[in-house]
Amino acid sequence: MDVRTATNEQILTWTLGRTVGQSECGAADTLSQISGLATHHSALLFRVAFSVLRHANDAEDVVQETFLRVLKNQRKLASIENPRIWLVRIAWNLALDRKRRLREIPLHEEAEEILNNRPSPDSSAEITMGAAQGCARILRMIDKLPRKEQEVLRLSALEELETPEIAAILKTTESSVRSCLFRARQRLRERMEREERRVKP
Amino acid sequence: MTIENNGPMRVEDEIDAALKMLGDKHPPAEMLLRVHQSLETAAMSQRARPGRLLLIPAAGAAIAALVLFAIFTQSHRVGRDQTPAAENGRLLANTPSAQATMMPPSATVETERSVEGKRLVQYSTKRGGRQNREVARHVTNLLSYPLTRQEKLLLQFARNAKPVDLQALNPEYQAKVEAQQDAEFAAYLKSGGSSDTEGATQTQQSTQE
Repeated sequence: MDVRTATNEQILTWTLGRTVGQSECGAADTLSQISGLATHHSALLFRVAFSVLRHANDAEDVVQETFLRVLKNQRKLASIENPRIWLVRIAWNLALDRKRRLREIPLHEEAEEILNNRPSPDSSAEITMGAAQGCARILRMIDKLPRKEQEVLRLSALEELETPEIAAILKTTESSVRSCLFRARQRLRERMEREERRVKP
Repeated sequence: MTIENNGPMRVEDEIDAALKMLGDKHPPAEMLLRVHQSLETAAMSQRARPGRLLLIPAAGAAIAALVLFAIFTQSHRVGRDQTPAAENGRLLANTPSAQATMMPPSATVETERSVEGKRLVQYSTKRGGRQNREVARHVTNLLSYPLTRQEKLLLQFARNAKPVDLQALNPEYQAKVEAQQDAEFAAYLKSGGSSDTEGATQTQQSTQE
């Protein structure tokens, strides 16, 4: 189009068409970028959410909600240095929010959830259920630890996350994460031993 | 990882096993597909509503307009309310009792509270705008205090007493009534006294005859 000879209407149509085309193209780019993030990080986000909620359906909802939040705040995406940490932090906060709102899951339900996760084919059903309940009890004890300690303990359970990443997610220092982890394990051990003594005097 | 409750497992191992269970959890196979689908749907709905972003500033402007309107109305109401209040305060002392009985009893009484209220209203009329509102707020607070013992007695009196008794509360009216009674008495004395004297002279004349 020759701008010198074109009418105002032609210029306007051309400009609008260009803008719409650009925005659609940009939106498609963003969507594919977010989809790529979902493909790479959704498993980690699921585990992060599961470590808090301990229920697969809720954890899945959190993952979905995380990426919807990212889509909503897509303008920030360009300025994010480490999208992995950013995503984990969003999922972590969403999971904590959801946990506050949810009722406490009964112990047997939680044990079933654990069984669904890791069935032990070489054990009888009774032992596996008992083991799962024992595991659920320990996780409940973790819930009763001080907030910082339980957060560090849960995130440290995820093998994909190194100490510097945990520190970045919790917005603290690496040394603080290490000392917190040490204290958490010590406190948990003491409580478990006390509980054991109470059950079997 | 095998968790056995009856085995000789140390506490540390149990903790590790529980934590490992958290870390080993695998997401359902169809989760990723669902995430992609929800992203597509959300993106499409965003594209279908291009004017949505304009709603935010429009809503902000609407809220600002409402707030301004509310402030404007409030200030006008305060201004309107102050004039009759001040007028009432000024008239309180001079209102005839018959009219006073039509008003709430607590407003007809010169108590510490109403005196203070009048003073504040007068002060507020001299000042303008924001100070006016503040003073009006103070007056409202002041009027919301519980009644004093004197006011309660007056209220009881106003509810139970007859209008004639209530009229007696007005000193001006009382003075007028007293003046009227004095005048009537004087008139009576004047007329009655002269007739009595005439009667007395007539009696004296008849006895002399």
